[in-house]
Amino acid sequence: MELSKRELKRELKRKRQGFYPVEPPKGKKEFLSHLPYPQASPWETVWVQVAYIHKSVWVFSALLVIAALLAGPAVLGDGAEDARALGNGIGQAAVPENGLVAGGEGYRWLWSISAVMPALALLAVMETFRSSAYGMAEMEMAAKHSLPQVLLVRMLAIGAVDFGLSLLGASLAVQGTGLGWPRALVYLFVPWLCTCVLSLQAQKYRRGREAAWYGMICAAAVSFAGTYGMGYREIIYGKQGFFLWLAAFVLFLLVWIRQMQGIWRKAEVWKGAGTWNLS
Amino acid sequence: MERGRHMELILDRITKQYKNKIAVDRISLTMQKGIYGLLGANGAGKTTLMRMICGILRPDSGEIFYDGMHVGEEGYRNMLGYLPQEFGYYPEFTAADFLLYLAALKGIPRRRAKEKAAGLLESVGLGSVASKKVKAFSGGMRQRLGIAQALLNNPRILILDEPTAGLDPKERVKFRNLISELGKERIVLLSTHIVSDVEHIADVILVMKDGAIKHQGSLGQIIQAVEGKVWECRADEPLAKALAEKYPVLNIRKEDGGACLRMVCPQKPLQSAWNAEATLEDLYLYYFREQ
Repeated sequence: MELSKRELKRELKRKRQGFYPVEPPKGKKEFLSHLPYPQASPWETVWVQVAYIHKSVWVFSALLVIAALLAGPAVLGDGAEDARALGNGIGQAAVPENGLVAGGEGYRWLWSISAVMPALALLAVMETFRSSAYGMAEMEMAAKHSLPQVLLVRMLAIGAVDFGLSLLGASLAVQGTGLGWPRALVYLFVPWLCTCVLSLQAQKYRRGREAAWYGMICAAAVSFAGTYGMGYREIIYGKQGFFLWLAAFVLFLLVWIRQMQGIWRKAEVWKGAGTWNLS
Repeated sequence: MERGRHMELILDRITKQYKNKIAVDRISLTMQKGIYGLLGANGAGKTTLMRMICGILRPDSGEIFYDGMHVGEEGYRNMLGYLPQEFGYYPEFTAADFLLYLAALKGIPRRRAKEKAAGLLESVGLGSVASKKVKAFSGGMRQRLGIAQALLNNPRILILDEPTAGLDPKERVKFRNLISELGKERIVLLSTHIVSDVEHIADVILVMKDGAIKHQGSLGQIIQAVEGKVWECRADEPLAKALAEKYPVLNIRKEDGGACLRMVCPQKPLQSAWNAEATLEDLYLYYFREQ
């Protein structure tokens, strides 16, 4: 039977394969596995980590700030009393004849926002609890971008957003009280830093959900202290007592920076006694 | 040390102590491509040793290097795959999310991570449940997901802590086959107290006790410690009791009117005793009989 040109070609190809068998590639898999595949850039890594912050953190943060902004005017009442009490040299709030002054309004805002600052701080610190609470810590620590780096990135991201929110609160307080920006920020950041420091310290000795509970207790205590302190606002927000706020701010900031360094070095948080079993 | 020439994992006199217990006691080891089975009873120090190799725990003394990179370096962790003894997951994660999240931590770009995760889920038989929540998975499925995450970065060093714990016999065999395949092109260190796992797949067996490596070598070399010393005999109840007090008994099988004993002793314990072929399980039971 005569073959067509195409069939002839196919037949030749088939026969040729028999004469010159092509050897299967040797070590192809190993070669491919050793190829230096591109790694994610540092920025990509940071963005991915920010994206992995639980959405509830952002939602709760926003809700807390909205609640604080609503709570300020809601409990405002007659701000004149506050303004008169606080106007004794601590700000430039003038008390007009009608008594409805911005000075009192501003302090109420300062109070309401500083009351939610511990909760915002707790949300930031809780991000560091999640790994051990859900049993992911070991795998995360053994990865290229190990857990301390990741936690630091996430905590700083949440901290940056909290800072932005506190600027909003501070602007209201500054407008209403005549306090300077640095002073308003100190009043707002002391509860934030205090909660962070206490919660991270609790995390050194307790793990997972237990640490989260301790963190909540710390945040509630700081928030309660601030709320209760509103009764003594003349003393607390008075000019004479500001140096104590400043001292507390510096102290908490230094401890917080040290804790952050500790996370970075894995020295502080992950060397807690009793963290791992002995098996 | 020059990089790239010696693909060896070097443990140099590493020690870890918890208060008054020495968990790992001056272990020195050099590992090359192949499967290393770390065998030891609970509390022998296996997990502590593995955590130190993974950089999770810092040794009190000693050093760990791979290809000239120190255990604390990012480059070292980039070469590492680790399956912990117990691991969890964030409750909102699906299997694919779980792998993508860990791929991000391993510095794998998103697009490549997606491809890699899909491929690995297929290879561990979880392709069809990639979009299912991990909390709905069985123990075996979670363990397979665990090994998939350990392989995401195509590690040169694969550390598997009790990888077959909680798996049914069929899954265990599948797992063993997978590990065998992986050991062809990387260092695999797996810890277990399931003797048959090590017996079947390990190129080198490391017997660990009280924080130290007591024996290391191939199955044949390891078994030599009890070779010719394993005896079996039939005895009535009083004699069986007497033998059990005198020699380390590995197994007692009750029979009509007595028992069949398997024991380790340097010489024939009874005239009627016969020499039995030593197994790794004999060695294990002999070494860890008091634990």
